[in-house]
Amino acid sequence: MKTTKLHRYLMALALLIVGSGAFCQDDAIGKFFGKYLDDPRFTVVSVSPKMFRLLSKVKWDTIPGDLQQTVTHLTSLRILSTQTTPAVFYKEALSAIDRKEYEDLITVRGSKDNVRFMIRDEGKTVHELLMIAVDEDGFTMMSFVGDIDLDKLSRLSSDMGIKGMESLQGAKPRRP
Amino acid sequence: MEKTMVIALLEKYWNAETTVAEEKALGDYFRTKEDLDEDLAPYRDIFLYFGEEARVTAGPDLGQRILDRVGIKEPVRRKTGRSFRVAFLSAAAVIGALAAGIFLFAPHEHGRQVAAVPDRTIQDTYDDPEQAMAAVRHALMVASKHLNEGRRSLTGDK
Repeated sequence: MKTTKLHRYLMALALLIVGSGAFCQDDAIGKFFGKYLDDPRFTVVSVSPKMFRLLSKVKWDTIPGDLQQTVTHLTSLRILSTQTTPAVFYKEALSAIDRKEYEDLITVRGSKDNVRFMIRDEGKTVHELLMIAVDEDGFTMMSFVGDIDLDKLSRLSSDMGIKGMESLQGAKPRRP
Repeated sequence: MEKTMVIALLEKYWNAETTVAEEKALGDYFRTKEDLDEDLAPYRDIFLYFGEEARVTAGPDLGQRILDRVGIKEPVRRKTGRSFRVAFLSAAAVIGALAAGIFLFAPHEHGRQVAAVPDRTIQDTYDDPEQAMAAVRHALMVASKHLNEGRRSLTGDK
């Protein structure tokens, strides 16, 4: 009888291990990336968490402080871009996004281009910044994951000499 | 102690109502009284017996005496190996299951906190950290530029 009990424990353990597979689900964005990962029309750039840890070995002296800090707080980066039927993929990407999870941050609508920023956050921390852009040259989707400081991120390009940012750094994201 | 008193105490004794002191008094009476009345004589043996038995102790060789009595020479250890092993394995399995549970569920929770991005599915485009750094830097710049454009258009400062 006691061995039956033991078998029961071992069975439970086995079930636990098998069942854990069910938790490794992909999110909508992951699926979208996965769908076009091997598509020759797309250019894919991925930087894994492992690589982000390795980035600390890169010579940091030539890299500005804000950039350093932003990079050290990132855990992964994925970029998907194509020049084939950008508008079609832009629409597909937008429909693939779960609006319960991603919140609109900024939408820029120009005559020739559209850029949408969406975030996934928890409290004051932005865990993922998703950029979906389309213009006449192509479609780009970027996903930054980590602990993202939007003010620091916007300062990055102002460090490069883009003027007029100072008054904007305090701008708050739009909340629906 | 008067005989009537002794009889009264005996009556109480048989009813189990005597105190420890009263029982001691009865015992003392029967042990010391020399010319016991006929009717009280049968009780003497009872109280003397109790007195003697109370002085008997187990002694250091009680275990050996019991073994001698039942005819066993050496104490035999009960074999507990199998049941102990089963109990031990059961406990180990429970601990293992708990550890596995914590190990398996914790990353899931963690993944939720840091946005449920399937990190395991990300395959690095670059093997060289410097190239990866350049790509990250470029991507950040593009995002930053667009973010600033967006903020500028929000504040109407185009």
